Amino acid sequence: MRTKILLSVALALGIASLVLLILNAADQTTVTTLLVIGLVCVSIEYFASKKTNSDNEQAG
Amino acid sequence: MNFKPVIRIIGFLILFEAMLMLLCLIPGIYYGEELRGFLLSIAISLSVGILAAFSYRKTAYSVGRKEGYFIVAVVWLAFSLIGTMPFLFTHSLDSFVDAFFESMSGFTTTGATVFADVEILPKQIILWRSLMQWVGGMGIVVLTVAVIPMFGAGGMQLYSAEANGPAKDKIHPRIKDTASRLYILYIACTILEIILLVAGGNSFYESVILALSTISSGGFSSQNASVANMTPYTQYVVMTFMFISGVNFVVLYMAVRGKFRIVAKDEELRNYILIILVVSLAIISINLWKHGAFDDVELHIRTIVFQVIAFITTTGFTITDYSLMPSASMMLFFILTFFGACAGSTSGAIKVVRITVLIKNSYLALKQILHPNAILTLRLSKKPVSEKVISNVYAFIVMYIVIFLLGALALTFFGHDFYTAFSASALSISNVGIGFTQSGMLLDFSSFPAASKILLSIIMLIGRLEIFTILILFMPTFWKK
Repeated sequence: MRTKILLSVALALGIASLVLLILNAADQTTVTTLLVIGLVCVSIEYFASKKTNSDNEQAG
Repeated sequence: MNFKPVIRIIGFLILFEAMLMLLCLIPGIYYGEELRGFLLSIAISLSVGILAAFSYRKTAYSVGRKEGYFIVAVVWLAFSLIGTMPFLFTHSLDSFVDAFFESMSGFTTTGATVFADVEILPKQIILWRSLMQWVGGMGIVVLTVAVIPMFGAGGMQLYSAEANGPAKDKIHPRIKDTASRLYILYIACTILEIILLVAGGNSFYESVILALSTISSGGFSSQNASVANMTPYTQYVVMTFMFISGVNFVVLYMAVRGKFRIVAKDEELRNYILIILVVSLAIISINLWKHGAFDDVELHIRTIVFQVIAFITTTGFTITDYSLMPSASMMLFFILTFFGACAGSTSGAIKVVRITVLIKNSYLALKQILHPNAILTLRLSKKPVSEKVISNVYAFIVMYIVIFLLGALALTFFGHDFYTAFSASALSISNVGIGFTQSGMLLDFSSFPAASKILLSIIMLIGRLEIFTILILFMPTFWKK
């Protein structure tokens, strides 16, 4: 569930930024913020899955 | 061939590339530059990366030997293709071929450039060029093994396919831990160089650019004159770290851990130092013989030793116009282009260990003629070398020479003169990035036709992945089930 939410948010932010840039509908700061949030979501998912994997390895 | 893990891994790496691009926004914001080009690149990388990485979420990561080779080749290509976006979207380059050449030259740590004037480029682009080299220096896939936690047995397949040199040394039984430790050491060396450069009065930005390009043995600089106009202190720091980048990182790790006995026993390291000393002395003597006494002895020695290290480590920084030196000195630089430093370092080319095996085996062959019944064993660091390794070394060197010659031949068909064709092919396969033309140094590739740039980009990749990884993909048996 966590993975789905985080990645959907990140993907949505990535596509939204792309559209905003193409349409020239937002300033640089807004798009930068959106992309940073998107990459933060990806990073959270990365570290969470790393921890899950490490826990599984230890349990195994 | 199972393509699902391949797509997943490429997706993860594209996301990592997006993170790197995000770093380039920092100088952009600080210097008040237009960010649109990088933002567009990040948005595309983020979207494509997520789709690729998570479309086959339930797929196991374990990859076999074939997938390992395929992933390494495709990943380097994908990284270079994604790497073209910042150049194109910031309008630093208008041609895709130019952007691909620059990107491939960056990731393969070749350092050849299509920019005639780098000083007019946005600061973000200059950082992007150096970051590409830094990532390529240790190897994109070694990074994957280190940072993507889900790898199982496949980690070793990837590491073997990418790690350079005839022996793939490990410092930990788990390949993931070996890769992580090598990366920590790599980061530590980079930070140490930045600190030393800042301490010498260089700006933080300049120091970062220089450190990223030095430790990766890349050679991109933020100045048109490379490091020629920098202070002697800066040049000494760069020279030291170029030397370090040419040492096997496993040996370097042992040195850091205080295991100096193991370091001292390393025959390749000894030969690497010996080659630098002998070639430097030879060039100093040749120049002295041709030009008479030096006005400034320290300057002359620094210049020559720097340039020798820049060539042998395949960094490709320039400190002087080496094409003005006597022909014998230039020939020594050209020969060094093929040598490379130690296996397991960030440098390209043939590597000292292979040259050592070649020379020792040739000596044994001569000895065998005199003593036909003697059982002679080739030893390296006092350990016997198997016939399989010797055969691999020979196969590698033969293929290296064949690709170099075919590359040079093809370049002559694209209209280049004999001199330039030889030099461009050599500097590409060895990932040196600098060479010679009939009229001087070969530093700028902007005037090369598109076909030459594509060919040289392919040669750079073949050289960086040490030939076998790419050529194996063209064998029909590779694709059979």
